[in-house]
Amino acid sequence: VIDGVELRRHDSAGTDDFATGARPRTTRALDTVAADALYHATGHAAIHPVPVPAPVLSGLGVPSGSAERLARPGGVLITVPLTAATSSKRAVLAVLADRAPDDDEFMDFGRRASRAMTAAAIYEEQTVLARTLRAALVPAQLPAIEGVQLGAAYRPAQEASQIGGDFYDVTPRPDGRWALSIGDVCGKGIGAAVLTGQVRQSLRTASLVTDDPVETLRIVNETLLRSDGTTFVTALYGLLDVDGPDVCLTLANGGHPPPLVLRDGSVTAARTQGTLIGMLPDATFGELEIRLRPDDLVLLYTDGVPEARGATGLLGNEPVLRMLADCAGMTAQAVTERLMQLVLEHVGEWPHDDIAMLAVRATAPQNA
Amino acid sequence: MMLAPSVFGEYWDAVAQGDSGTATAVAYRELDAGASVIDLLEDLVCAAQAQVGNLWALNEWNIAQEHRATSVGEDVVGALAAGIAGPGAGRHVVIACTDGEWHALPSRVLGAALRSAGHRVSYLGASVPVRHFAQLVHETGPDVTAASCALSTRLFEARRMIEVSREAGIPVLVGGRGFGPGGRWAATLGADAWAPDARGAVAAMQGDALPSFTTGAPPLPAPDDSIEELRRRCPEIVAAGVQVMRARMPDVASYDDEQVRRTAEDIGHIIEFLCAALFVDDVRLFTDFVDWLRAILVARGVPSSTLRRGLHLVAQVIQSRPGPYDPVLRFLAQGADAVGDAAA
Repeated sequence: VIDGVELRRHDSAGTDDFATGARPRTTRALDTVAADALYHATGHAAIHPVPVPAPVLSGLGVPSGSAERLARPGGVLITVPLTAATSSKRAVLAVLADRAPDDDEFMDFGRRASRAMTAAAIYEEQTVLARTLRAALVPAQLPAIEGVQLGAAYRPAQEASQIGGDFYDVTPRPDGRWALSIGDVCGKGIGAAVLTGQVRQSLRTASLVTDDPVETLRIVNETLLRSDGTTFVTALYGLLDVDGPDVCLTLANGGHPPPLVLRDGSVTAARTQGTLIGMLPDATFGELEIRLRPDDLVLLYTDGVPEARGATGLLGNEPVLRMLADCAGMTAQAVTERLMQLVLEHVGEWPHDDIAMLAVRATAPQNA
Repeated sequence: MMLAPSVFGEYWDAVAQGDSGTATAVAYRELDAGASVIDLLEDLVCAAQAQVGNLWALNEWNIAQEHRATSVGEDVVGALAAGIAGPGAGRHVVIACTDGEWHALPSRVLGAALRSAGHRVSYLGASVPVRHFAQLVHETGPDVTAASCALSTRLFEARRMIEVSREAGIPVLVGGRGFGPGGRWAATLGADAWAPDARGAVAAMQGDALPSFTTGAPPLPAPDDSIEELRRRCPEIVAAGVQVMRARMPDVASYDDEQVRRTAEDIGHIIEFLCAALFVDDVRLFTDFVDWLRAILVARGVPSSTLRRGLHLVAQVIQSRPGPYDPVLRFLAQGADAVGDAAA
């Protein structure tokens, strides 16, 4: 309701909405010849007495009679043309009122609404852009793999764009094993996000030509050095084999925090190191093998976890290890969610970096 | 259809042992026997969760046990939800826990219940930042949003979600203990509808409780500057509160580090709940909390008298700071009285 005049919008669904005053949510762009004529004829706000002239009604796509049903005797139909400078779309706002208002008021409203439409059109384009980018970068849903449970948690630093420089990925390989990765691209925001996409793609491609995780990281290292040389990434990349008696994870480390292994209620950090990916031509990447017995869990995480800063300083490794040790028997997803809660509660209202976690838990053999 | 009483016992045993497989099998078996998804969600998952909360409150279970049992509940909800056919002719609803609200199970139950009733559900999960929520609401244009809030201290964030949603013309359904007994603070905060549980939410979605369009959230009844002041000063009040309690109360003076940390945490909660009570302008929010805290503390060997004395000392600490704190002190005094009544 604007200044006591009730706005009722015609919706493409038909006249009933016009008559009942449907929720004005989607604006229908008028694209019929009649609407064009109406638009040009009423380049300014116009007030039509009830009964409304037939050409005006057909321009609005409203059959004659419906306006009469609504308007009280002596009422008027006000049409206000709206146009966005950046768009060929135009619209006519139709208002039923009990009395004829000040014409200028509506013209002014039309101008302001047009400006808002211009801004909205620009905003819409940017939204589509951001959404497309995000759809390509947000971690995909984890696959279901027999013999293991997967869990993940992810919070990008930039909440609004939801695009970050951390990533994780679990993809099937032709040989029945699974390629698994987690990584952290230097920088933040859109720039880091675009690089994230590149790195993730390079990892997938490299994993097609070699089944050696260290070799895979070497290829990605080479790719990044050639493309840019100023950006780098830390990552753990490995192969998950669920076929043997134990679940076996073979990982290569490119400068990434070591995985944590939870077994029988105690936690150990795997001993591994390696250089950053994308900085040095002769980088060396550490390799390690983790064998998981049923109920063992391995947690991969990015440095957004221990380096989360809150009112009391950095979170550090200690609380993470303590809480993880307390997670025996919990599902992989529950573990990552519980740790994410720990991190974000520590952070409180402070800004945080990208945070990503990926957990793999070996499940008890089937028929258990 | 009613579940046989023995079914809950069987399900509970599985939950207590952290056995997702058996718990899910029980739920599936009852589903095959003709129980509805909503019955299973309410009468198994939610009923068990209430029990989990009680055991924690009574100090019979630790937090890890609570989390393990909760994760069984989440697995069962996930398994039940997986079996639901695609959305029917229902409405599109976005479900979110308020920022800082990590109790996700009730909202997952709601999501599964609404899906089983034919609605299209976009589930955002635990602790959803308002910015993220706002973006999604504008991008997807749902018919309804649903906000879940189990802790009254998160009502500030709930209010912001309600504002964001209503500003976009989208009506808001709220639920969770955070809105008080009978949802008494839901309307105050501008929610279009409140539901006590998943069944109630399904009914609200089908009935006339939720309009197809809504206007901006009405202003809060009693905007109070002292809330902001109190929230800002919370860390220093907590620090001073611990100090004063240790100086004046011999039992507190002998606390070990862990007990001191817990005491500081409790004072922090007291301030947060005070702020929330002022926010909805209802002292019952605070006295209910004090009552709950008293039971929790007594179960952990801390006598009521310690809490009552602590509340008085916190009031003194607040009084010594600059700023008009009349309603704050009045609420605190009523809280201390509530402890007295209960202890008597």
